[in-house]
Amino acid sequence: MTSILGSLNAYFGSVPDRIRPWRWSILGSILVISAAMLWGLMTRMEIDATIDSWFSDGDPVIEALDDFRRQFGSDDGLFLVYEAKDGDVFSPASLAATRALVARFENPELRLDPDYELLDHIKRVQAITNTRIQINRDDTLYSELLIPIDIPTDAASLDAIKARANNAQNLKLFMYSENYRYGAISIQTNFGTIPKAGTQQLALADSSSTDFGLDGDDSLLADDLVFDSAVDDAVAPAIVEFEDTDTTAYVAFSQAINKVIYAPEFSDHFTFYPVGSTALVDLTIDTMVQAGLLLLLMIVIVIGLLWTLFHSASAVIWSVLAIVISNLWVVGGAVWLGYSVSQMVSLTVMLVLAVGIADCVHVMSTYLYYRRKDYDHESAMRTSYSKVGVPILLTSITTMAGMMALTINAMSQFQFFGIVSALGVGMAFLFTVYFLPILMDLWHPQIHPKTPKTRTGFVRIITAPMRLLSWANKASGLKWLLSAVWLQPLLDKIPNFVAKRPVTISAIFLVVFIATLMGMTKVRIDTNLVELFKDDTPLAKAYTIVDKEMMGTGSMEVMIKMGQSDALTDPEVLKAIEALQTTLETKYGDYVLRTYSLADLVKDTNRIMFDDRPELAIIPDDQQAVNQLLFLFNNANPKDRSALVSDDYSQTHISVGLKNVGSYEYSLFFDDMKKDIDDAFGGLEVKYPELNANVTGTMAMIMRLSDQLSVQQFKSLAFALLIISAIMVVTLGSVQAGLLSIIPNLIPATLTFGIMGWFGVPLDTDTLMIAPVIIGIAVDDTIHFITHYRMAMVEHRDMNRALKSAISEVGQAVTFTTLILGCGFFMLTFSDYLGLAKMGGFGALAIFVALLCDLLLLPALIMIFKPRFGQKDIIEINTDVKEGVS
Amino acid sequence: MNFLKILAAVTTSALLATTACADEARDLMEQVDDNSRMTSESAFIKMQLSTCKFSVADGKIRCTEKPRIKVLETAQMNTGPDKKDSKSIAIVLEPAAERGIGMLSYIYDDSDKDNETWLYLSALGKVKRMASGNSNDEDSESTSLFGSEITTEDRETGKLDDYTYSILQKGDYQGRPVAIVQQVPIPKRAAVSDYAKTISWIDTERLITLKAQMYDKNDKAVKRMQVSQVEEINGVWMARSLTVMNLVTNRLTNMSMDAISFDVAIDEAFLSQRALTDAAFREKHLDVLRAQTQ
Repeated sequence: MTSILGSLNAYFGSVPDRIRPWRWSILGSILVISAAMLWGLMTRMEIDATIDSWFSDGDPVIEALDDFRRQFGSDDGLFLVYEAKDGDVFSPASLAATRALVARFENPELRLDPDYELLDHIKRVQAITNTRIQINRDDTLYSELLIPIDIPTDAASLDAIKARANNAQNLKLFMYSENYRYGAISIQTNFGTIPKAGTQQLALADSSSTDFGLDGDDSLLADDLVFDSAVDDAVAPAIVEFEDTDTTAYVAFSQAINKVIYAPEFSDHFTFYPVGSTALVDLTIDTMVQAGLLLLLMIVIVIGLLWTLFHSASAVIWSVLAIVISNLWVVGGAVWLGYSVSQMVSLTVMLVLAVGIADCVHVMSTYLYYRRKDYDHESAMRTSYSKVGVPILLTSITTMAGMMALTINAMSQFQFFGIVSALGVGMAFLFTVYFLPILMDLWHPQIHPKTPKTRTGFVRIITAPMRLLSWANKASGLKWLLSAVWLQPLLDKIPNFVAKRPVTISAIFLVVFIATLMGMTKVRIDTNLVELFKDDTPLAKAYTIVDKEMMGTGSMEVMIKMGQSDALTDPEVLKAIEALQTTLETKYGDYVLRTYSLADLVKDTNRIMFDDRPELAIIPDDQQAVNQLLFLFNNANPKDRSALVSDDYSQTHISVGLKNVGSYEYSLFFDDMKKDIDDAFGGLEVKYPELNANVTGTMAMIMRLSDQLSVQQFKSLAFALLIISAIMVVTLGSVQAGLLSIIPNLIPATLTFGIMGWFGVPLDTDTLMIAPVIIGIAVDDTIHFITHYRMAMVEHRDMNRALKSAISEVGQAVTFTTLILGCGFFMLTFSDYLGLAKMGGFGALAIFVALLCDLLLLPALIMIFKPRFGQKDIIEINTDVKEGVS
Repeated sequence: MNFLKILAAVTTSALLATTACADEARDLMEQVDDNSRMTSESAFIKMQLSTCKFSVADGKIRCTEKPRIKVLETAQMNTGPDKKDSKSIAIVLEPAAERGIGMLSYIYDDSDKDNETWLYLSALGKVKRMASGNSNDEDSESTSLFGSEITTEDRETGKLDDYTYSILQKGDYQGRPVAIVQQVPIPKRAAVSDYAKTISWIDTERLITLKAQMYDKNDKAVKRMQVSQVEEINGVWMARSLTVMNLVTNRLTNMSMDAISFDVAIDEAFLSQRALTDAAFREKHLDVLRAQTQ
């Protein structure tokens, strides 16, 4: 292993000289490809922030939802809650405004305007003003609008309307709140139910073509297939596949909706609170934009810190350029390959930034270290690459392995994120090794910078922002803090400090480690959508109102497939459904706000049929009677019927309105509910052996996704740790050394999770994402430290000298990368989106803790366990020598 | 419900109209409408509605499951001044669970007079008059015909002004001279229509629709209608079999007329509520009609 590492050192040392003759062609090629990548990003980038994008095609969760959508249409709509400013959604003015608003949504002429074109996705708009109710008067069944076309203005008529609305089974909480202050417009869209082109009808597709304008198109006149009344059981019915919803469509749809609702005639009367996946996607996009801005800010801070560290415009500009191009290539490459980009991309960019900066800082600081020792540019390049090439390679491999570990996750988004991030890290390595030397040949950092007076105008212009930052840093004291003035003496004291009390230091870390482990046992893996947003964001407000006043934000569906036609007209089945609803409403009263099913519809129709007698709101015992009640309802209101039960009465669903809770509670609730569902239908299995009942729905899917994601992410993290440990053991050539180097990396992660456990901060999807980043960065620092230590030991055959050399030479670079990345991550805490803010805060904490572990714990462990890395004739650390270290 | 009118309307076009227009396409559609009116004179029909999931195999469209079959008997006559009003009754014979369900409809030509429909649910022993309550409430929803894939919109008559027509092509289709007519609803109509466009294959000699395809707002075919067994009955061309395929749900309904008679003698007293509730009365009259059926 030593000889392999030696050859690699020699190779990396020769790279700057080897590529020098090719520098112009390499530079030219990189510029051309980068321009192509930039062009791709600007013209072809598609953002996919939909929930479906998290699942692979064919995932059972998506299949179940598609199954539901095929039968009952899209459940992916907008629940537009409005608050009447006059305090009563049933006041004449509110009713008139609601009716006008519904008409505006449904107005086909408005959709001809490009700004409102996307309103064409609306399939159905339901509000109190267009709801029909069945009324039995003088033996005549009226299917009347709840709110007459001529809206009454007298109090008595308005009270009568309220009474009628309250009498109907499913309006309260769905369309208005108990106190009449809030109302809701349910906008059903075709999102998720747009059939894929070409999948509609095999041979029938021939004339599905709309290209009818062509003269002499004989295909129009071709013979058609004819209906043959013979039944062909052998042929499975073709299944309609749906197109994935494009996020831009959601966003444009949302903008069109906003344009309608924020027109003065509506916004003067109502305050709106949109809820549903359309509103969520809108917010996700906002979050991505904000994350982008924070990333930019992070880059500015990194630039400032790099400037403070190197006092060299070239060092700053070339480092940033190498990293920007790495990101450009990897994201641009994905875009050119036709992948759409999700919110995860910001994390990839951040990771590549982190790892790339660390790579460049190590090269630059080593280069400057040797320039200060009066090496000329070329020798300094050779030496620094031979010193840092191997550690950079190792850090890149371990980080890439960590990222690739994410691909064991079943979620396609995570697999994509893992692969793209691994490629990005690899790209950052390649650019640091093969591109940075070319740039540094063109313009390299000066050890004794020229005085400002001698700078050319061009350089002055380029460095002006740097000098401004430098001035700001100096004025704020940051310059002192970040300059090496205090750092090197401090680092020099560390070996002695540790040597005097290695056991005490290790014991302190051990106690912290145990405490954090105990904290980790208390960590709750839970994602709560509302808790991810600050209280004053519109979404959080909307969720609170809908949960408190309306039917709840977490709607889900219990899909019931009987496997037999007409099974749902069987009173026994309807009574089982009714019993299940009662169980759900009573047993889970804390979550369930409302349920609605075919059983309610039958009871309601029966009551109406028998002169509105409340005691007859029951399911008749006679199947024929049930059948005919459904026939009656279907006749009057086929859309509502088909939204609730399939045409052959073999499939139905129970809609369950839930309060928003975290994914953890949801998953517990789902598990319990599954048992209740099984119990409810258990008695029917003999009669209906193919009976199948399951929970589905978009919101349910989001919550299940979050829960699954967190658990899978946790597994990936464990797997990443395992792989990284294995790589460390192999590359360090010693099991003991490999394990030793892993310990300081466990603490930052366990500390973060431990603190979350102790303080009751739930570990959500976003927070979990910091784990691979933390491990990646922490391990990088350790690898730099330990490879340097190992090389120094091979050179000096003396543990003390090796330790001192490692701490003084690598310590500075490691401290700077920590400062740069820690401050960068800390910027994210300013995000409105708490998922990102927590990620920033805990990420920064972990990065700083990793530094403490590398500078204090790792030397202490080395002193205690004295790993030899397979070397012989080593002078070990002993009490006498310890004194000598100082 | 006026069943002959329904039948005629469905077999002639998805949407028909009566008002005049100079345009060739419009003229053609008006002739088709006139033809359909001839089929709605005193008639008695026994029809079967078969609904199933379907697929295409061996060049044929076939049910992939046992179809749900409803058998109905309908009688209809034109009444009132100029015979412009009509009365009709439909009685469900099968399936057993729906046997005896009856629907009686009085359609008035006078737009100031509300149409009347009574529904009899045999299992509950109840007759209910169905009414759309609010005056000036025109937003009627498209209803399916006895739970089939055929909707009220598919069988709607009149309102020719609600559409614009154009002839896309002329030629021979299945050995018949046809004009392929595109009809697009005007915006007001589009708001309540399930379809953004309908293309109909009109037999220009027999004045019936041989095929129609309906499109949604995304210009995707969502439904197709085809006829077969076209026959001349009492001097009027009509199809005895009609299949409506829902291309989204892959379900179809085939409506076949097992027995059809025009110009039968129908006692107007039969087209009353008594026929719904009084089984003996109903059977007596039906027997008379069945005896006249070809």
